[in-house]
Amino acid sequence: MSQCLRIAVADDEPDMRDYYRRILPRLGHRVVGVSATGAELLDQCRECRPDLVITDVKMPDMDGIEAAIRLTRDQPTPVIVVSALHDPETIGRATAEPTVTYLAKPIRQAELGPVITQAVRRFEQWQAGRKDGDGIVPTVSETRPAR
Amino acid sequence: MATPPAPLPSSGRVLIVDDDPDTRANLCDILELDGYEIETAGTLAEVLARPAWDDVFAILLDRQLPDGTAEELLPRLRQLAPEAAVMIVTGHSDLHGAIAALRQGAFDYILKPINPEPLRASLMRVADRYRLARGKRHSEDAFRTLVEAAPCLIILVRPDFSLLYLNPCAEEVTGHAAGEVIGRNALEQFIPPEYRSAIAESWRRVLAGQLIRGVETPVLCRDGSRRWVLWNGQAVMELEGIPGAAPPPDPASPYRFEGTAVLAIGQDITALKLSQERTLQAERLAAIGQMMTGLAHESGNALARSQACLEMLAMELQEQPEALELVGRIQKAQNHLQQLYDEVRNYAAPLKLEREPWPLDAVWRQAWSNLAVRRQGRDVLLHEETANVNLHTLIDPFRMEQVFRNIFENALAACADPVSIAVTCTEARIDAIPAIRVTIQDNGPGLTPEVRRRIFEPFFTTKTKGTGLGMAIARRIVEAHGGQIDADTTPGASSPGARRFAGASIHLLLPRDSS
Repeated sequence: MSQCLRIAVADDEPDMRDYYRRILPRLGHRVVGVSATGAELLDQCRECRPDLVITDVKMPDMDGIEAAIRLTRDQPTPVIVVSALHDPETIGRATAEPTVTYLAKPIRQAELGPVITQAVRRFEQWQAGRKDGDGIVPTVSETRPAR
Repeated sequence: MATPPAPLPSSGRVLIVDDDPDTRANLCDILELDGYEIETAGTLAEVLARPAWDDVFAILLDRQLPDGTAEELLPRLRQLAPEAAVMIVTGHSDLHGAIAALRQGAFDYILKPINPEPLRASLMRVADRYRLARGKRHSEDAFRTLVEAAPCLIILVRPDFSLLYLNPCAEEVTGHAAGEVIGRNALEQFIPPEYRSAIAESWRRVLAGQLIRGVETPVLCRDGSRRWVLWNGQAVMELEGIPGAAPPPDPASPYRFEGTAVLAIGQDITALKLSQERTLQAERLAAIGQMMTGLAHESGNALARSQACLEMLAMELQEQPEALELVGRIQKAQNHLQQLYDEVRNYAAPLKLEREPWPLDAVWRQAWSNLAVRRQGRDVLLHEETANVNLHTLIDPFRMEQVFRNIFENALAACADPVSIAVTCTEARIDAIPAIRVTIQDNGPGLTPEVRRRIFEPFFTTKTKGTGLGMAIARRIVEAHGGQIDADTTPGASSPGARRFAGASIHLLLPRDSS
């Protein structure tokens, strides 16, 4: 494990929240916030300043992509957007965000670790690009929807 | 096919056979009054040398000719001009001879000296009869032409269901030559077993005098396929001279059947049925699509939750191998469910291609290597023949890989070891656009006509597992690329090398630049 990240998660399904709570520590990370809606996620992020956010797309009051967009504005953070929708529109919206990495549900423990690493690297590259002022956002090969 | 009849000459042609020029001239004078065409002959030899007899409707024949008698000529005339009426011209003294001639088939006799009025009246009767017979024959020819040229199936079935007649269209649709099937049981020959009792019942109703309209049945064809036919049926009575019908066993009545038969007139509606089925399928897919939109998120989420819980459970059970083994089994079932769900959702979802320049062989090799698990423990070989073919394409590699995978999967499922699968590429064109033809052949049992026809239908499967969407998805993807896909069975080739692949063949025709 390269680095212990402080991670905030959001999903309207209790099963999924429970999953993150149990699995992420096994991957060497710490869960610092657990929310059931997009608005709740933003509130928590303001308080706990996580290193990474993992959020479902479809949630009551605000969807995960919208939450990621607002988060980028206030406190840029790498976000993994997780969805069972994987329709082109959702994927397009998610991957248009430089801070967002898309992950298709169902999540498998084996792929969660590499996706976290990829999300962080993408975010760091984007930030480096911003500091250099060239505005170029490196694209990382997206996770394509499952068959 | 019979040609339409030539119009009847004004009054027909009369042949006068007499060696006495005065009698000939006299007869000519009388007959010209009625506008007949007249031809004369003085000897028996002259008569027999005549070329054509078609339009001769009457022959006035002198009993005594220099080179023979009317009795000698009559049998020949019956052969040469069976429709012509022969009238013997004779004197009072020779009445017995004339009567003998009548017995031999002469129509009438005329006494010398000739009385014009009875002769004219008699000829008038003959001409009328001739004209009627001709007219009847012409109309029979016309009807025969109609029946034989009709673009619908016409069959006649006897009350014992033996086939009496089928027209050329019925021959063409069923693939059976009339000579092969006439006399056979029409029910067993043409009607699939599951429809026989219903059709037998409707034929019985027809024979009892009912009209049957709009009965649909599949018809069995010579090549084992079925075609859909829409039938109208009714009884016909006392048929004679059925065109093309083979003589029934009774030689005394050739081409003749008296009694009632079933006349069935059918329209080949296979194409219509197919398009109806396609419409139905499209409607079913649209309904599934709507359903999927509604179900997609919730089922996807449910599957995701189930997956998450399974992984958590596996963590809890690390120290309990037996329980962990059960979790593994649930995981397998879960994977299967996920795969089915993905397939159906994928088929119902709109297809958007992401085209990239890509060598085609890399795509099928990727598909092949992704099937490593399926190939494990089996004796399987993949042959490639791509010599001199430019394999560069602009395609969606991910989608095309799916096409190859689905085709390979089917081949692996259908073939017994040792399995040989050959991928052959050739240069081709689609409407003048450069394309690649890819043929994937296996050495399995091949495709039955039924499978060949339905292989690309969604939800059609010969396997016990799976959604039956594999080839339907393949077609969808290939067509989205502007290509074509079809399937057939490679005919067993003579060379042993070719025989290896005498199983199913799937042909892809892909434009090089699919955008």
